[in-house]
Amino acid sequence: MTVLGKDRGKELETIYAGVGELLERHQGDPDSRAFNAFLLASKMATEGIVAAMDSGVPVVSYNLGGIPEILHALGDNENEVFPFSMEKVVALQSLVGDYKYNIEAIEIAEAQGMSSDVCSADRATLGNLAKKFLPEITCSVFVTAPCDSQTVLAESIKEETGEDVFLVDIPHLHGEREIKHVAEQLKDEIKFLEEKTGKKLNWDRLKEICEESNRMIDQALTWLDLRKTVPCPQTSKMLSSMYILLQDGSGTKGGTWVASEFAADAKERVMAGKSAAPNGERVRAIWFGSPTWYNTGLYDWMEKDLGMVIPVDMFSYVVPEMYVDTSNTETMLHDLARKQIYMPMGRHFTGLPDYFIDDLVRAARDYKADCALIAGHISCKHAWGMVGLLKEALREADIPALVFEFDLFDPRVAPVETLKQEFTRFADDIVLPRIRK
Amino acid sequence: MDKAEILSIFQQVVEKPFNAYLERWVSGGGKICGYYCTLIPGEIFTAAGMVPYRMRGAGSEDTGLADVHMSSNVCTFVRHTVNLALEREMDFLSGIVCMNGCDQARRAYDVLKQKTKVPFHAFLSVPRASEERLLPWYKEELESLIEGLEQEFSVKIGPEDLREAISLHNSVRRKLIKLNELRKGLNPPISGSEALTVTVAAHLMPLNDFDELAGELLKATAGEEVPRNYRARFIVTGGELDEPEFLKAIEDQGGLVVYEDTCFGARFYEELVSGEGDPFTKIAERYFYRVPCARMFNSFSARYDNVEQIKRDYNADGLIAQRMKQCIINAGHLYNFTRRSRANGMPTLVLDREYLAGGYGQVKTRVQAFIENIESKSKKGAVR
Repeated sequence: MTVLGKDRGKELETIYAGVGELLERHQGDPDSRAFNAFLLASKMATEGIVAAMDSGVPVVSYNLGGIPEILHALGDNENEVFPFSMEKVVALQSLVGDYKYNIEAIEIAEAQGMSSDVCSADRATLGNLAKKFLPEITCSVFVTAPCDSQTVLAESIKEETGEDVFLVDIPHLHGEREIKHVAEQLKDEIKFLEEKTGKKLNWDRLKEICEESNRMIDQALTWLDLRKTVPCPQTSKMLSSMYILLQDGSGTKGGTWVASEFAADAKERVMAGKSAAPNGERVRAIWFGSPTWYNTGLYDWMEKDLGMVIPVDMFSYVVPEMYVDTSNTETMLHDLARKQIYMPMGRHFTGLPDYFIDDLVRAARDYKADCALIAGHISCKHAWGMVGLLKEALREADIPALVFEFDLFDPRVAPVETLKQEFTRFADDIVLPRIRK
Repeated sequence: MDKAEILSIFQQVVEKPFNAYLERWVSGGGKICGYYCTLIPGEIFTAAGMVPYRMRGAGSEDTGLADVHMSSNVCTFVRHTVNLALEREMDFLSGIVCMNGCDQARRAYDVLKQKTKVPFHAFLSVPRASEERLLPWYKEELESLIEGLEQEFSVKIGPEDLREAISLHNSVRRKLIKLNELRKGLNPPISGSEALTVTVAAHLMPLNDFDELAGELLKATAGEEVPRNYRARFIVTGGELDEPEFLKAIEDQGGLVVYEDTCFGARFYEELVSGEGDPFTKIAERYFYRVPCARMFNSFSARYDNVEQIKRDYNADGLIAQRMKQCIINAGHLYNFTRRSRANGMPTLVLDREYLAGGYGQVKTRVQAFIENIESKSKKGAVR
């Protein structure tokens, strides 16, 4: 099959075909409004990648923990630079393509010498780089969040491509001093980008882009508020896609539209009294950690078989601190720095354990949760390193928690059947007896 | 004292968390500050009148207590260190200073802060690139550490204190550099495992005592040549390595370790702090700009070039790149390193290992095979 009229290699073609099939299957389904919006965004994202390859515009790679607003504002017109997160391809392959290509990429990276201790998102990205189907990049901008694996990827991309990387150092704490420090670094990042891409940052466009970003945050917060409803109106598997939206679609009309569809879908379902759990909601759980992107069918199973819904997860935990004040260049840089620090995942995985714990406990309270699911992606060493402190805090808050081990892209670490058994036992033996009391 | 006696003293120093020198220091009213990464300048503790003490796990027998708070997904170096602290084996410390060296070490700090009785804690947020634009932040972090120490321990750390500390630390560094230079020879007076024992000891005892003993050791080894029946000379690279027995396992197979490009090795003593100018700035610059470790981004080429230079200087035949299992940062470093070194024809052996695992059966087998491989390629013959 071709994508935008040309052969693109089996990996991108599989994503494109997969998303096309899913769109066809779900088109017109009133229960799939939000999912369809996400699928459409995935289709456009894939087309965006190949269009960038065809057009020859400078491609700037940025990492999973990063945000794209500054990259979008390079040049006087839209699309003069293509912001490209290589890990997005891994996520899309898992969500709408064929996860086996990720496994293949992971194995290539390991055969080249990369340890399996490193995050599968980063191993798969290195494998994809070796397969040479990704757009050639002009330069990269990486932030030191959310984890060590990301800096490993940054250094390896530099070594592999030979192209320069600008590093935004995200400090340990998340206070005003740290925000100002990151804002100062964004000034240097802009100089770097202007030099490497030959495109000047257009401040008027950055203002418009930040305003568009704010509209997405409006929609995301509305959406999250609607998901507080009991029963939870909308399927759990939509949650983690909010992270992709934030990371990839911030500042774009398409991104805002998808977020607005998420919110509109949730509103419709609340008004109609619909529940994410077709057989009735029995357990409300907060999912903190990475999602099982290798098999999002797990969430459908949880809702159908266990009556277990997830009103909010870590990837979707948008907070008002992510708004950008567009009054002037200084406020924009300050608030983009704050947004960068407050991005879900980065905010939780860097810094004090309280950053993670407080959000989780607050989410459990605000979303009337019965329990927490601590999704322990094996490479998240920061999370495993504080798991005891987390358990203590949850005990103190009287929130029963299941800590489980898995890999977000690789089913070989913990197959979905194993997780189903763990979830069933947790729900039946721990959570439901407490609810009945 | 002869060489064997001095080495025996150092050996005793490194075996357990607490040693006779620290005991004497503490019983005399002295304070000890534990720290957890080579980017934390020991000079600051010395200037505060404290002994800088590099926290590690030697002497730990299991990780049971640490596992309650962490997980087997965290590296064994971190878990053994935390375990010792939770067993109150580090209660002699008056303070613990950590940094965001890696995701696992910073979580060790979180556990240590909440679960130990050590009275003073501080954390440095150290930038992950040795770039000029980030130096002011690093200096601010060090200033904050100094303020914290001054407040907690009622001391004043002035420029003169820092100058004296620089002088002592540089004296130690010079001796370690000299000792290491001896390893360039065909028949070095000390083996790799002995050299590492000495360097590790420098992290664990009052530096004046160490400086004196190291001076004695230099005298005792001056001009000495020890015929060693080795078949290949190795540089050992990687992150944490404070187990001389690991190097002994390599050397027992016919390898001679001539340089440790590791945190407890050369990263500790290579490059002096300049004695000219503002001492605080010079300390910061030395730590920030020295040959970077694997956590520092945009640094791979500098690290690689450094190893190539060492290989030439020390006439090494190959490189043994060791990594603690679960260490993400060094996984990345070794990935890039082995790809480039193999492309450049530098013989490289990668060894993943667990801390305090002992045995080293697999290490021995792989080192034997590596030596044979080098010999067959170089056609040097079996024995030098």
